[in-house]
Amino acid sequence: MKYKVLWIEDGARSEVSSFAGAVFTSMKYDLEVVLDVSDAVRKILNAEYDAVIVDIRIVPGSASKWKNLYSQVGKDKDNARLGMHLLFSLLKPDQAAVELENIPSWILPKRFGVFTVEGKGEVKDELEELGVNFYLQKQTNLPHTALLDFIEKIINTSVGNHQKGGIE
Amino acid sequence: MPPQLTEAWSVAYLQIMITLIVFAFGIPTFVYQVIAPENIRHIINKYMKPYLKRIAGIVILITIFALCFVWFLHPCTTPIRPLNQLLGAIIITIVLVATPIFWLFVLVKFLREKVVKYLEKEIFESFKREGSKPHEELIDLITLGERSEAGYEKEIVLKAMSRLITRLQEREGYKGGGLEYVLRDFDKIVTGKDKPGNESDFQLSIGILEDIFNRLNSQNLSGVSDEIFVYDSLKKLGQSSVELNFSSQVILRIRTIASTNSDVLFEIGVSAFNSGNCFSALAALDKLETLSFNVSNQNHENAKNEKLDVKYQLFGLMAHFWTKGGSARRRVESFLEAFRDEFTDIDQLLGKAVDAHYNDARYDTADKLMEMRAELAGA
Repeated sequence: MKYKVLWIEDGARSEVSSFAGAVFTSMKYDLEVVLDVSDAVRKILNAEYDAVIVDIRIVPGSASKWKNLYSQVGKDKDNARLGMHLLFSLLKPDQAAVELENIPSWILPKRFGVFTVEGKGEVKDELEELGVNFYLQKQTNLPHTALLDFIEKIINTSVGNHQKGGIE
Repeated sequence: MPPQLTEAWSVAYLQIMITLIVFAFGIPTFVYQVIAPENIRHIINKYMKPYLKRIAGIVILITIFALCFVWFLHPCTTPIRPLNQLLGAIIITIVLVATPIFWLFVLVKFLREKVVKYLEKEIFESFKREGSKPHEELIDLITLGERSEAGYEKEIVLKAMSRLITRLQEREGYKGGGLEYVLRDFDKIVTGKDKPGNESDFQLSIGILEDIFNRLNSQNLSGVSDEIFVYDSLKKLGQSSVELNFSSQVILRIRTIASTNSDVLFEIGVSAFNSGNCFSALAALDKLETLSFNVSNQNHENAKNEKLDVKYQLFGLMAHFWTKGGSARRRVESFLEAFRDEFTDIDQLLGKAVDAHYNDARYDTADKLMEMRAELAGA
């Protein structure tokens, strides 16, 4: 069995193919990619994942509550930071702008990682608040195995190897 | 002799023309008679011909009358220099003819939407009256989409299809069947050889198919006939998208939606591999591997048959990688080495896979499987 991994990412073509290729070649993970928050929520509420990788700058998709939130901040995915809102909805519902129903019990901070262009300083406080320890910044000099390595770190924690995670 | 147009008269004529332009907004169908694109003109004529003829006649008469009035009936009271007289007449005439034409071009977009909405309404009414069948309006709407330009024009048709499908699925008594004729040629809107859609059109189409799945799931309808047609459309969209060399996001999205359908994954994988799109082929192969393991771990009654079917597809795609040689073969060798415990009698499995693909007339895959089997046996 492969570990199930969800990657919420609407990035450019190079980002997806260059990072996902190494994951497919590894044969270790069942990687699913969704492009927006609505699809991500649908997936998360319907299946269990061993790791969920979240981009901060993502688009709302078809669900009205996410579209409304997106509209309120001027329809700009950089400012909307819907990925962060999604994390709050799942991990800190009492502080979330969008309320989700029937959040599964497998949703725990240790299964989540943030892979984004935002610098560490821009997200550190929020990630600490959420209890999410895994963070990787998208940079031009990242190796093609960056996503694979990142997934392995999360999986090692989430499935019980107790490897210590941490903000890099 | 050109008409004598003073400043006051010129202004008066321009005001009249503006009124005519406003009037033109109310008769948008005239546009199609004059400038409707060739590819959709017959559809427009089919549904609006009598109306078009009347409107066209009225507009042509008004234009002729306006030109006659300016050139022949215009009152001439103030003497004007001949050069000014000629220039004034030319300018007013050009403006009189060019302005309505310009506005008619602007109105094309509006009219296309109007026709699409008309067809959408008629199709739904036809379904209500006569049930599921290849309604003429449905064929015309898909043809219209197929012949439309990528981007805005195809988007209008796709959104109409989306609304139509939603209404059909939300109708009382919907049991997971009835979309056959809606979905049978749905992919042609974006996969047509003459005017294929752009990546955004493909994403929109895939989203429509995904929404169908979501509605089926929300109504606890799975394994129904409409699901088959959705998978078939996804397969065609995936095959076309790799041939058009779209971004990997398209394939990754289809791969996620069709994650339990080995046939879709196999066909897309082979198309991608043959198109030289190795990333997409690998994405399909990786998912087939996962699916093969998942099915192996199922305990339900049909698991045995399903398991074999998935493995035939998996090894069929692997054979394409294998016979390519080099790094593609290395990927297969790594898999067989890593999971050798899963495939204890690989020779027998390959033999059955050959037969399965032969029986499905996938001769190319069957031949590659035989080649792979012979090489593995000789190793």
